[in-house]
Parts: sequence; structure tokens; C-alpha cells
Amino acid sequence: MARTRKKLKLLTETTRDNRRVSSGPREKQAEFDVPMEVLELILSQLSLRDNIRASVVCKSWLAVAVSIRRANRPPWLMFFPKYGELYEFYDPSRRKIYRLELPELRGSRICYAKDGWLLLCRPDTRESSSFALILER
Amino acid sequence: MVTTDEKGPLTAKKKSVIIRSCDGDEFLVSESAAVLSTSLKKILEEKEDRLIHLSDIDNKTLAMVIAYLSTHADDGLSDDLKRSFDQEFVSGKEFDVLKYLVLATDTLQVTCLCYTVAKKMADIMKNKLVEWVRREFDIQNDYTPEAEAEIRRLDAWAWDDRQLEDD
Repeated sequence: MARTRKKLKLLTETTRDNRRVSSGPREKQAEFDVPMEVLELILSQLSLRDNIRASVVCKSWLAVAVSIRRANRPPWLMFFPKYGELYEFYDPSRRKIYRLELPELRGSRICYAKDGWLLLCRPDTRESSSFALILER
Repeated sequence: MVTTDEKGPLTAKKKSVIIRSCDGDEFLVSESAAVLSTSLKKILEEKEDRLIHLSDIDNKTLAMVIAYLSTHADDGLSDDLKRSFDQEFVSGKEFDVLKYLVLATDTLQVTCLCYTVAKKMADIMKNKLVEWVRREFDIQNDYTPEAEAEIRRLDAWAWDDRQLEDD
């Protein structure tokens, strides 16, 4: 919020004096200060490998890089039950199995899965729906 | 400096604003294009001023942002055309140009363009040496050599497998 206000203040430095001229030559190379939110935006587009390398640039970059770093954890395997609604999830990094009852998934097929979201379709009704699975232990 | 009346009958009704860069150049922009910037929109809502002075955006950068805004305000262009314009817009631009563009779009709150430029910058930064990044962003290394070596050692795999570029 505070930042938005600051921006507006900068921007509203309007003037009615049309003769006001250039504020001087461009001093581009002199200072280039990346605001935190812009740095976040840039670094969040990097791969984990490039993110880690960016953290060596300087201390403030380290803080930003670490704050947005997502470890690339392996995805869990999802097992469908032959009967009933008890689904199994296998976490390969911890070699643990979790079980979860999901009556919502009855009669559905999974068309696609990404980032904890499932795209489901129901062959009987030809409906499709999305379903979020938040799997954190 | 500003040319006002080359308007046809269609555009005559459209409101315009004048936007002035920090180095004094003025741009005549249709209001429909200007309000695509959230910051400009707020200013125009708050005051009747038709002249907006941007104290920290230079003329070259401002011209690029305005070209973007005008294209996106053009109802005659399809979304597909606008999307390909966006890709064209950032491709081939030097890193230095993108840096000032990303700051300007952040200040003006042109979210979509800010994101596109940040993405392009990240693409360029891939596989670059840390020294390259410091140079391009004009950053002083504030680590002690020991502290830097420690971070590199912790995640040594991030440096080990490919040739990093320095230009």
C-alpha cells in the first residue's frame, strides 16, 4: 500500500507550466535500483538452478531468491482403488503412503494433473470438472 | 511541441491526455490507452489534469510503453494479434532497455507488460555468470569471499554441469 502511494506521488508531480523543460541529461547508468517486487517478479521466472546462482549476486538478492524458492519435490503417485473410495498416495521422497477417502472422485477419470490440481471427466455424464488436492503432511 | 489537431471526425470525440517524460518530451495519448495503466487511471480519476509529468521515466522508455498501451487499447485488433505484438515487443531488446522498461511498467502499473518484460529478462539471465548479473544490474557484491564460497559450496550442483556465459 505504502509503495503504491509513493508511486502515485511521484506520478502526480504534474505541472501546468508548459515551459518547464528537461530535468537534465539522462543519468541512466548512475543508479539502477530494482524494487523488491520487481526483483521477485524476475527471479520467480528462473529455474531452481538459476535461482540458486542469483542468490550469490548479493545479500538482498539472496533474501529474495530464498523467499520465492520452491524446492522441486518429486510428485506423488496416486493409486486408484479397485473398489471403494480409499485412494493411496505415495510420496517417493519419504517413501511413505498416505490414504485418503475421496467420494468426490467417484466415477471420474483423470485427464490431467498439475500442481495439485486434477482435471476430471465423467464418462457417464460427459461432464468435466477440476478438483484441487492439497496434499501436505 | 505537441501536435493536437490532426483528428478525423471519429477521433474528435475521444479524450486525450499529454504525458511528459522526465526529459521533457511530450506524448499525446488517447485516454482509453492511458487508463490501461492503473497508475495513470488513478491520476485521471483524481484530477482533471490533462498533463501528466512522469518524473522518473525517460522519453525512450515512455515511447515504448505508450506504443504498447495504444496497441492494447485498439479495439480493432484481435487478442491473437495483441499477443503476438507482445512477443514481438520484447524480442531483440537489449537487457539494458528491458531493465528500464520493467521499472517503468512497475511504476505505471501495467501489470501484463511488466510480467512479459520480467519473463524476457529471466530468459536472458539463464545460464549467465553471477559476474554478468552483477555487472548488468550494477550491483556491488557485499559478501565476504568466505561467505560467497560457502553459498556456492552448499549448492555446488547449481554450478557444476554447464558452461556459463559472460555475454
